[in-house]
Amino acid sequence: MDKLNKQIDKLLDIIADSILVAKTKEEAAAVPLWPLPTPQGILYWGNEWAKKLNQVLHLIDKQNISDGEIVKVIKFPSRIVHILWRTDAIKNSDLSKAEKVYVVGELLDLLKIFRKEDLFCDKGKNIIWTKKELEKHKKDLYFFSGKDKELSKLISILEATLYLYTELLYWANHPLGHCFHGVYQDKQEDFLVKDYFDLKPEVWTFSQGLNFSEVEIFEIYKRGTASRIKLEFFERGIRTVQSLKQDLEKFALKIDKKTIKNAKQIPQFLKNLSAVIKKGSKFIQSLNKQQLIEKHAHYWFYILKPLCDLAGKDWYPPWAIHNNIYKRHKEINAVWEKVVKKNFEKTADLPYKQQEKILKEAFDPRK
Amino acid sequence: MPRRKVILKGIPASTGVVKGKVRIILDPSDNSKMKKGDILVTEMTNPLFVPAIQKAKAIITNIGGILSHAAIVSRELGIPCVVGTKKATKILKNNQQIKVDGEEGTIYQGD
Repeated sequence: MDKLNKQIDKLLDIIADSILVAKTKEEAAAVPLWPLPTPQGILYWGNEWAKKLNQVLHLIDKQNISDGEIVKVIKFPSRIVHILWRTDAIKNSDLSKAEKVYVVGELLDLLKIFRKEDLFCDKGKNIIWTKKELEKHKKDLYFFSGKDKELSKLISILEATLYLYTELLYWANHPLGHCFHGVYQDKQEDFLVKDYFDLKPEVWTFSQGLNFSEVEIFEIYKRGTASRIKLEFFERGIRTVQSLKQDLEKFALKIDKKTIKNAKQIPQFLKNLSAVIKKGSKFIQSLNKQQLIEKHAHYWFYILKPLCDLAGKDWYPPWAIHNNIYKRHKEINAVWEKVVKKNFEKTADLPYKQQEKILKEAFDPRK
Repeated sequence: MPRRKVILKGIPASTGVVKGKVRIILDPSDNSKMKKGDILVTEMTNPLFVPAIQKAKAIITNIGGILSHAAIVSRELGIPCVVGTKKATKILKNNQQIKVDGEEGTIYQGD
């Protein structure tokens, strides 16, 4: 328990830091997250979501599933860390204190299966492959030169567009659709992997227009670049001001596990991706507030799918959420407007230390 | 040599120095007004800005920190970015020639 308490303390430190460092005062006050502030959505679905999470974790616990099987189904740690970021939903749910702590502890245990070396990415690395796995993945790659200006520009545009696409799918919680891991170092090179996965989630009809569902980008940087590539616990991106492009030596690409050997294919993927983004943007813009909240709930339950699969349960949101959105909207929206939003605005003016304390309390499952 | 006039400061988010013309896009429906090589100036980016971002030489936003989406995307693209300027969309004007220093987080007047 003492160990778990320390881990929860550390998690709360990271959550507070992540929120406060990423945002300026103005941003925190305006809560301008596109297209819907996450805390607003949570008011409608958070309680049912936390209960479902608790239920499936207990079921997984009972089944004695091997670590290998868990990795095979969940695939990436980024989804587990983002479920952990929803400790605010867990904390504000009807679960007992003991259950809330249990849920967070189980999620940290699941995360440990992936991040064996450094659970909290303290050293700025997100190491999820062993040396053996790394060698296996490197084997069938085909590398393009990072020094070729046109090619380098093309891969940059593809990466930026993929990044924005995951934001279209999961809004502020875009790492639900990508995992950046590494930096794996050896004597010659620094190796970074960017995996954009599950790009056609069933929650978004527009995503079905995409001709691929996974893009893996393997980047080899000049030895020593790793010290500037700081990956963080929540996998939102690389924490640096410097662009790394000038140090990119070579890169490789896999689409749906197939190695790309012809660079002329890249513009085709980009064209398809841009068209789907256009269609998806139009669709999301057409949704009203309640429909946006419904989609928000939908994808947060969808994120539990791998855990539900392991537990043998379906992932669909319960009917109670539909009622919250369409029958209790006025009442719940008043809580958002008059209480939660106002609190955000008030705390944004406080000194850093005070904001940090309030945030930690708001996320602490033990209080 | 005369020093350039600093017209705005913000949080440095992606390194590089470029000169170019300002294009303020507040609503994604105006994405088509963005020309290749313009400097995108906006409140804060989101996926609806993809067509404008793909053409941008640099990005300047009113709000955001180093892990905001404009910052991350700019680093991926290898273009300069300054975030958290608070008032870029008010101070800068369309077609204005500016110089963006993404390392210092400074926007200078002139070409």
